[in-house]
This record gives sequence, C-alpha cells and structure tokens, in this order.
Amino acid sequence: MAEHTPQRAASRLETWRKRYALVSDILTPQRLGLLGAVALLGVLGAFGGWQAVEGVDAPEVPLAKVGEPVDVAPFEITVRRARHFDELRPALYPTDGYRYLVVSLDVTSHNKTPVAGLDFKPAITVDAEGLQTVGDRPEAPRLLRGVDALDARSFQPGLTTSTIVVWQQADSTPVPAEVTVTLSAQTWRQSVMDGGWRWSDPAPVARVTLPVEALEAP
Amino acid sequence: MRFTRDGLLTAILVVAALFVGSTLTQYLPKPDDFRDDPFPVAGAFGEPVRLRNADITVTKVQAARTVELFGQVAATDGVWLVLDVTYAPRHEPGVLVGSQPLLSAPDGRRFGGLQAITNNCGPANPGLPVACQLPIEVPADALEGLVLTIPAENGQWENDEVTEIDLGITAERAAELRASEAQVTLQEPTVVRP
Repeated sequence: MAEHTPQRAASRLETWRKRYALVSDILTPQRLGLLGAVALLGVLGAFGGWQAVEGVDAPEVPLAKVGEPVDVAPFEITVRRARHFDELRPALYPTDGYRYLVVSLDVTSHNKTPVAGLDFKPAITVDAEGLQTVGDRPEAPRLLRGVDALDARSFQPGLTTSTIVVWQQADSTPVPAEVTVTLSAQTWRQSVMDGGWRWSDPAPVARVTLPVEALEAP
Repeated sequence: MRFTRDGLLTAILVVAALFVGSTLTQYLPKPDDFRDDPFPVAGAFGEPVRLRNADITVTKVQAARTVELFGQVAATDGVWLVLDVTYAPRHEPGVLVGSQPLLSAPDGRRFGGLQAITNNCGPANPGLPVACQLPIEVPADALEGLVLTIPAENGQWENDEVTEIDLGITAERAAELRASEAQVTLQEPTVVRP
C-alpha cells in the first residue's frame, strides 16, 4: 500500500504533464500568469472594485465669525474685512485687466522665533474666481502690513500685526458679493526631501465668509 | 562542550554587565546632543565682543515709533528697537546682514529676521569698522532683559560663534523705551575711525 500510493500520484502527474504538453507552446507560464491577473481584475470589476468611491466626504471645516480669533498654528488669526479696489497707492498700483481683492486680518504668531511671511501664505486661501495664476496654479497672495503698507516679511512672536492679504482678480469676472476665506494650520516638521525643518502640511481648520466691500477712497 | 556552574555564572555576569553598561550609556551625553550647539561669546553693552572674524560693539539702544530708510517709513504695532552697532571685520572683508541679529527675551522668545525695513552693516574692510543702525520690531512687553545674538557667519547658528550681548534693559529702561514716540531716520552704514 505504502509503495502503491507514490506510483499512483506519479502517474496522475504524468497524465497532466502530457495534457499540458499539448498546449505548452501557447500557454506558457508567463501567459498563464497574465491571464490570471486579467481574470483577477475582471472579478474585482464585477464586484464594483473600479467604481468611484462614494460616500466619503472631506471632513467638514468649521465656520468662524468675522472678528473671532482662530487658532491656526503657528498663528492666531482674526479675519476683519474684505475689500476690492483698483489701486491703493503707493502700495498697490493699477494693473491692466485686474482688480485687487484684499482681506484684512490680525495675525499673532505663537511661535518662539520669527515666522517668515512666506510661511504665512499657505495659511490662507480665498474661494474667489478669476484669481491671477502662475501656470495652472493660483498665484500666492502678497502680504502687506496694515500699519504702514510695507511688505510683511516676518511675524514676530506675540506681536499682533495688522495684515492685508492681497490677491489680484480678473476684472472680467464680477465682483463677488461675499468670499469665503479658508484658514489652514501648519505643522513644523523635517522635510523628507532635504532634511530641512519648515512649516508644512497646511490643513484647513476654519472658514470665514464675509462681504466684499468697495474701497471708494483710500 | 560541557556546561559547568562557573561557566554559567560567568555568562550571566557578562550579560548582566552588558545590560548595565548599555543602560548607563543611554543616560550619558552623546556628541549628537551638542554637535549643533553654537559657541556663545558673552559681552556687555558698549564693549567690543570679539568673534573669530570680527569685533561687534553695541553703542546705543533706542526705541522708535517709526523708522525711516531711503524714504520708506515703517510704523509698528509694538516698538522699533534701533541698535547702533559698530562692525569691525578683522582679517577679511565682511558684512553683517540686517536680518541676522536676533533678540532673545528671558521667556525664550526670539525677535528679528527680515524686517519691514532692513539695514545692513557693511560691507566693511579689515581696519575700517562700519557704524550702522539695525532696527528690530518687538512687542512692547518683551523689552526687559533682551540679549542680542549675532552669528559670526551670516546664517550660521550652529557649531559656530554667536554673540550674547546683554543690552542692559531693566524694567525702568523698558518703560522708557515703551513710552518713546521717536521717529528715527536710520543712518546709512558709515566708516568710523578705529
């Protein structure tokens, strides 16, 4: 009995080997693998694996009020008002085809060291249409200091700075009655690309909707 | 190979010694903990501080409501602290870039970097010190006890010399500075006699 079993198994293997030899020139192991992969993809599709993901909404960003301080790491930001105008000399000169759309903020840095103005820019976006672009991306806004209309190049720890965020909007688009500003907190972390430490990963923490007023006389 | 009681005891002692040694090593200071630390060079207001490549002297500290340079006027929601500094490179020409000085407050905050108006010290040549005025914007509550730190090499805050100059701002002096309504027109860097 013990000798008979291996003989039976060997003969069955031999049978299948002969059968496979008939098609082995067409069904090579590589092609069999490929067919298996295609079959797997087909089965995945039959069970809905290729349908668009539904029912997973982006997390709701809470609404904040105008004049309400919001913790937006590493800053505390209070949105004051939104305005539009064509020029505000000597800081902002008229540009053909564009108007200025600005949002006034109070910004206080809670960081222990100065934060560069460049690092503030990812903290705020606006939902207006027709904003000036660089390539296919919206151009980063310009930051001015409300107190003297000079460029806001850094935010000092604990010093509340009146700040004006300036976008340029195509004047072919209508002036929005209101805009929604999204404030995004950032994380101080080491870059995986170059090992440098910087504020990264802006994540929305609050939205503020406010009317856009005309600035008639500077 | 035969296990003996002495052999077993020796093995246990070796393992125990390795365990104790590795545990102790975790608590010992490591070179990495200090490798990036700056080398502070302490100094006093009014006296030259000798860095490896230049002497730096703070000769005056004043506060301003506005500072002006080349027709641009910068106001503030805090206080403009204007530092009169003499910068004297020793061996090679150099420049003290205005965004380099940082003011350290006792609570750990540091002020400086790129300002709305930035003035530079230099370029200066050895033997020809340059006097300049550096404005730094600070909150009104942070004046007392400020210490001026300037790196020997611009941008090099690690593993190199950095001044630690106590500006000598007491509570009374801080109150005076806070109350200042001065409007300071910044002087352009000028060569001074050594």
